[in-house]
Amino acid sequence: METVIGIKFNDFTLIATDMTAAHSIMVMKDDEDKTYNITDNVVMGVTGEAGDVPRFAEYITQNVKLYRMRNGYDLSIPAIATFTRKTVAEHLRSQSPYQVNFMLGGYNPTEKKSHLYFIDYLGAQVDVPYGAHGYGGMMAITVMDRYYKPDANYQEAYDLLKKCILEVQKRCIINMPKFKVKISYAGGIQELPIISKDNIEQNIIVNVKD
Amino acid sequence: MSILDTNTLLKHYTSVETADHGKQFYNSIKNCRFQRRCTATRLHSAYSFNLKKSRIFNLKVLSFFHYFNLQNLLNILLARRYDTRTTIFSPEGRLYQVEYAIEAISHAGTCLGILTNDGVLLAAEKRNVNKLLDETCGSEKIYKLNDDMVCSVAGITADANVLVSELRSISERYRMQYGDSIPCEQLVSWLCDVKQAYTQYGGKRPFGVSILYMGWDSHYGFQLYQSDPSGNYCGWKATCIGTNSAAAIASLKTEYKEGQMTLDEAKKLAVKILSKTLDATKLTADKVEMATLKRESDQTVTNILEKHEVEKLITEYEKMEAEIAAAKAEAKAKEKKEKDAKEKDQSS
Repeated sequence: METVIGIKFNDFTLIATDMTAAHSIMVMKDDEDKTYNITDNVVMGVTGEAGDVPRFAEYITQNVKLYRMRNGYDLSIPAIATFTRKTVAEHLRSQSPYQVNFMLGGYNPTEKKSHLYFIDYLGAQVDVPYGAHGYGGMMAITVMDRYYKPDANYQEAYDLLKKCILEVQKRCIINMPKFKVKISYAGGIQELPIISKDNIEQNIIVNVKD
Repeated sequence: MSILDTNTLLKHYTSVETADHGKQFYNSIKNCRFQRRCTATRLHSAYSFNLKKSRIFNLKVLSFFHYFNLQNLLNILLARRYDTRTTIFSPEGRLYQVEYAIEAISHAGTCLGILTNDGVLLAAEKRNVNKLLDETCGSEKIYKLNDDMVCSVAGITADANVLVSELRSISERYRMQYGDSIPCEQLVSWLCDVKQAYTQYGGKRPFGVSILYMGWDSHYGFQLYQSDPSGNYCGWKATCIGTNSAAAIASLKTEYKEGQMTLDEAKKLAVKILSKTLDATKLTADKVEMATLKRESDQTVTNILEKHEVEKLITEYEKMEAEIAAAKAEAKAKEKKEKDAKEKDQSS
């Protein structure tokens, strides 16, 4: 029912999630934030069971912080991905599995490389250039298949995301009026303008602080 | 001080009938050492059994208690039992068992490690030299832990094997959790937690092993660590453990060139220092094990040197020593000649 989209480019990674909080057939609110900053440069967009999502995201965030406190350096982005996958897989085989799907990505300024991982509630982990979860993902993927290029700049990348979301909002039966967008780049994590039904037809200029 | 075994103790105890008997019994045991095993529990069960058996025994016990109560006896037994344990501080605040373990290592085969700009080197003295020994079973003191780390051990080999397998487990557990090689210091630190636990929890003896670790990780590059039985560890540029380690460290201090060492120089230095510190008159290749760790095209390459490579290093070293000795002798001879000539001049 929910959608999360992630795209990896040479110098940055974009994560976008819809902002709907639904309960049964009812929309409870439309300004829910489903993105979580794991470290200064890793961001995770999570969808799934309403209670599981924040609990899982906080568990990961705090464990990554604990690692930093113990050792004085951060886990690498692939290591965070493996750790989150392992956590999901371990809980899957317990009495209390986490019902969460997420795109985890970030840009590592020291090795000048961006990473993006697709991980689902079964513990499947795939290193992808772009990917999405949820029904909306079905439309988004096709647009990215057609228009993705890895060396896009900030504006081109944001416009590609807009193109994806336009298609989602046009073709998907589920109402997803607003999307939150986060970028992880050399300067850290920054929030980009929300893409909504009201502004999607307009030209939005992206300002990324360098 | 005599040693009382449990059965005699029980016999004496059950024959206590009067207060005088009790006093005698107390005097006879108060200076004895007890056989540890089960004494306290067996005494206690004998006491409760007799208690049930007869009412008369109660009187007996009561009179006995006049001089000495059972609880007191139990306390003495328990105190003696823990005297020799690792987990107890001595009155001067020292842990003798841990110190003895560290002392044991200073008699073990020498291991030395040198950190250089382009890699790390470990060298170890082999004690188990026997021509009947089947050497296909691999190296004696140098173990590979994972793709990025190698260690060499000094101390009780049986203990070392347990620790090495623990190190390998820790390293693979980390890989399971994070998909990466474990950073060197974390591996050392985790193992030291195990070592420390054995100096604190009851009924255990510490591991009689010191370990030198060499490794590489993306955070701090090449690294060399040393850990001891107490669970302490330290990073080093060059260090040595085992027999004569103090002498070896002293010469490492003078010979180590800060920030200028290369792996080849380190190999030569290791041979030099080992030949000086080993008891044997002549260093041979089958007494030395050597391993290197370096980086090649973004991958860690570890290598345990073949016998002939070590042989080559040793002959090179001997040749150089001989040359130096020859040069010295020549200089001396020359000096003497000049002196003689001078004396001749003066006399003429």
